[in-house]
Amino acid sequence: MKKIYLVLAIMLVNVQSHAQMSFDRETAAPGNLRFSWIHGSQSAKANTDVRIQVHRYNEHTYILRQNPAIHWEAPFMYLLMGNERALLLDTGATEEAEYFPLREVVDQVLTRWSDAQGIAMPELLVLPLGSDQSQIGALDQFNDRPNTVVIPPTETSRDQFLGAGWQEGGQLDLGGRVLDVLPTPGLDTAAMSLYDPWAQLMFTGNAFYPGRLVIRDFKDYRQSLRSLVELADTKPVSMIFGGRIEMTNQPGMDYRLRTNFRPNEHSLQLSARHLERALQAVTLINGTTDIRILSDFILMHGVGRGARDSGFPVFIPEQFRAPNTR
Amino acid sequence: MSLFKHSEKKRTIAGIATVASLLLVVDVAFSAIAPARIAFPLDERAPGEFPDGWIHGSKSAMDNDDPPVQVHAYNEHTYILRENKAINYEGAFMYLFFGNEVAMLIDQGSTSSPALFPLREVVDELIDDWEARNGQEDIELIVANSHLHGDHYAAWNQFVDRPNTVMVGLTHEEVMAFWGIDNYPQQIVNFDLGGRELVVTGTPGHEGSELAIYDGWTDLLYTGDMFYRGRLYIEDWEAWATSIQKLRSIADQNPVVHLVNNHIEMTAEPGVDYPIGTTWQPNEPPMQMTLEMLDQAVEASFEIEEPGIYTYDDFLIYNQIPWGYTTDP
Repeated sequence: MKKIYLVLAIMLVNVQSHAQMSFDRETAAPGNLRFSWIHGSQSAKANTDVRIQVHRYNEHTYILRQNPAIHWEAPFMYLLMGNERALLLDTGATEEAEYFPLREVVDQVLTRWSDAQGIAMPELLVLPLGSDQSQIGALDQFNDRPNTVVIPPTETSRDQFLGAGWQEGGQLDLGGRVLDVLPTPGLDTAAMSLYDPWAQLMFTGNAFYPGRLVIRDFKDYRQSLRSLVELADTKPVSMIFGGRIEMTNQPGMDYRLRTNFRPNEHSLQLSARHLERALQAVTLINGTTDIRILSDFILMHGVGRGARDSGFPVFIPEQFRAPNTR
Repeated sequence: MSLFKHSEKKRTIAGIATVASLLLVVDVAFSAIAPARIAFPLDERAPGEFPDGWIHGSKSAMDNDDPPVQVHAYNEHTYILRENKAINYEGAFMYLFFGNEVAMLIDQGSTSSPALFPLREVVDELIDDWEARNGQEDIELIVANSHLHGDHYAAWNQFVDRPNTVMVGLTHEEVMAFWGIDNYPQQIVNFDLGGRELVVTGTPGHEGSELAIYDGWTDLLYTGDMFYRGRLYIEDWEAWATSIQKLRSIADQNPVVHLVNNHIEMTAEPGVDYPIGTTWQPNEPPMQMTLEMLDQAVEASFEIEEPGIYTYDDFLIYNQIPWGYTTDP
């Protein structure tokens, strides 16, 4: 009989150590950004950085970056953990596990994390926030992964997973950590963004980031920015994390497309005031062909991704000329 | 007017005769060992070959395992070098021409660091091998440039302390003084590279100090950055039009076999280019161009009047387009 009590006591202790993590707090869960991102090298051939940089923002939030020497888009990915599930936002720009072993790295992070928490491997949700090649590159690496749900950026699969009507106030529950989900089309019809009330973070993927924001559907994008500004007005946002960095640390200066050595990048994180500025600039663009250069991002409408507003000699080809184009 | 008094002149002539006869003896004695001076006749075309494909980068640049500099022997006295696109996307071509007692390196790629891009080491090795094969020693190296843009002289610095080397220089004045051009760009000069006759002339338009070189021995016409399979960035349209027409007239007067140049930016699909910054070009056309392509460019030089992008099967004319502009959708 005593033995049974002992066993029960041990079980109780065990159960207590498996206590649910709490994602309920007054202020933002703090995070660490005192470090630098890998940013490629002068000769990509001679690059010796890791293929995927893993940064622990806080205990349950990881930021991953693809090495620019593998793909110049060098996108960011985010791994968020809750009591029941882990969520991977975006999957990088490269398919081949040989070059870009995303699944392996995610497995390593999750194994260490679940060991540290003393819980079993959580279910993994793989959710690209848009349909751009730099967001869906390694999606197929997760197809045969056990205990995994892959949600490709299609209406059907998102409706199936988030429930029809998710566009009007959808939520995604990772187990105690409940994220708001909202559609943010305009640059990409499939773009969506997330808000994490625990860490007070906004994840905007390729819908809003320090780079060239090429508007494909003006009204959609203006509405998306309005939704994001409204969200930031009603809920505290400590930081906005996007999918890429294309700006340098010089105000208004961007890296040319396909630059794979970026020693002076803009910071990844933006703030709610950047959203307001973007909305103001978009309101001024008002559907015309325009390139608007702001300190932290460039808004472009009616032109291709590679268009420039200046250069030597100053020239914009005929097909891209319009009254408001500088 | 003679500078010698009669008596002195006699003595001098006698002296010269003695020295000459001595030299003749020495010469005859040596000719058994030393190989004859290499001849670069103009009347028969020296054969040469291009590779089936050039190194063209890789999908993941950090996983590239090609050499930093590809060396291709067009023939035994003519080398074509290409910088690895995984080091710099420009993938620039460089040329090493040999003559008797002299070699000329035209262009030095897009990367300065010898650790990343060991151009000097590669060139030194090629010269050593050539010397051993041809029984010549301590030949001079001339470090020259097609034009003065940074993607073609980045490794120039690697040669500044090289012994027995002539650095042509990186200013318009130094370049023209070296070639003996005092009326740029009209003047056409003959340059003797150790018995190998080069025809050199100014071809501005892309850049204001550019030169084209015709090698009479191989019948190669080197057109640098002003004509290649890619985006022909033209800064001065009138100058470029004149230059391309001059290349046509050089090709009329000489039996040009191939046009060789500095970059490949086109895909094998007509009119479609790899956008600027591409580090992997698995579907490249050959680098060398034909006279038919030159004809097409000459035709374009008469037709085009406005700035803009003009698409041809084998090249794109970027007339006064800002360099950073791309056609990405």
